[in-house]
Amino acid sequence: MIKEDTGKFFETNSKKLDKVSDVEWKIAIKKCEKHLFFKLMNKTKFGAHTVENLGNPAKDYYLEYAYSRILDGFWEWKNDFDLTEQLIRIIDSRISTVVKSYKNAKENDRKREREGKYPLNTVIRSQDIENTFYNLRSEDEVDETELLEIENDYKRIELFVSESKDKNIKMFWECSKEGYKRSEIAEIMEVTPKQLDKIKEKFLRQTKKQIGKDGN
Amino acid sequence: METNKALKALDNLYGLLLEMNYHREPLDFLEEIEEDDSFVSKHLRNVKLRRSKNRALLAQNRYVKLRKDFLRLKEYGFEKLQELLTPNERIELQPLFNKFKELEKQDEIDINEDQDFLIFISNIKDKIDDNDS
Repeated sequence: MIKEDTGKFFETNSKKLDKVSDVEWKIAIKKCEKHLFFKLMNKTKFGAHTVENLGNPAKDYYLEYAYSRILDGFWEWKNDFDLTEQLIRIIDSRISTVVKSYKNAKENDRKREREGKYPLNTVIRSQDIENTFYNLRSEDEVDETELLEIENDYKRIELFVSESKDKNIKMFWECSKEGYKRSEIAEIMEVTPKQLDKIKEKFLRQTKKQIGKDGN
Repeated sequence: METNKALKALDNLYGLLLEMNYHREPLDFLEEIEEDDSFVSKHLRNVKLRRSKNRALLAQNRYVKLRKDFLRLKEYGFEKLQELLTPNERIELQPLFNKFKELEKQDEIDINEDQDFLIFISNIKDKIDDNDS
């Protein structure tokens, strides 16, 4: 009997996975780790992405979820995407689902409490919804402590940039604050995307000292 | 007001960093991956472990499917199957027909690795399907 714990894309995904080397996996894992770091910045101490809710640290939970879906064939690895792109899409979808489920469960609990009933535990329901990079707060509630942390981070970066003599750092921060995208900033600063990457790395390296967080 | 400004600015910054990370060339990550990166090592180990289990499962699934096909062919009858082949094919495929008659559970691994036999089963199946239609 064929085992039921695999999805309908098990065989097709497996054929693609046969061609993935260890180095490619390492790069994919690293890139996803960074993605999760920026995506969940200041969001793992309270709410949907806590260890209490997920059962594991958020970075581990979402990464493992993503590659499990591909390995076990429950999510089709489409030809249009490389391994990392596909994993990131699954991660974003899962984050969106977890947040929605958490909010629904919380709302249900509030309702039950209003009705004088005991609150229930959070139940995560499965939905597949893509999320976009520049829409980070659309589904999250921000906790007071997180807000304070965000304000402090912001002040430290502002202070650091105002004291910096590096024009590129100043321009990069101003553009990013305004919400410009990668290609737009490269155009404004008259640099190639690769040069912009270097500027970003420098910005992160230097601000890391200010905000004491590590994106690696 | 100040809070909103900070929220918006940092959201924009992290959004930009996400986008830049997404578009960064895979090769650019090579220099960042150190041997003792515990996060990467832990997950790579997990991936490889699961891949091994899945490979075994794939082989098992393949055998289950093969056995199902085999039982269908058996129902069809060996003599009738031979009639589907040309005399030359019959001579050429005789060793595989013998194997087909003797197929047992313990042959599972051998059969999965025996490409000729797998192709043989698949071809015979196609011939029956053609014949039936």
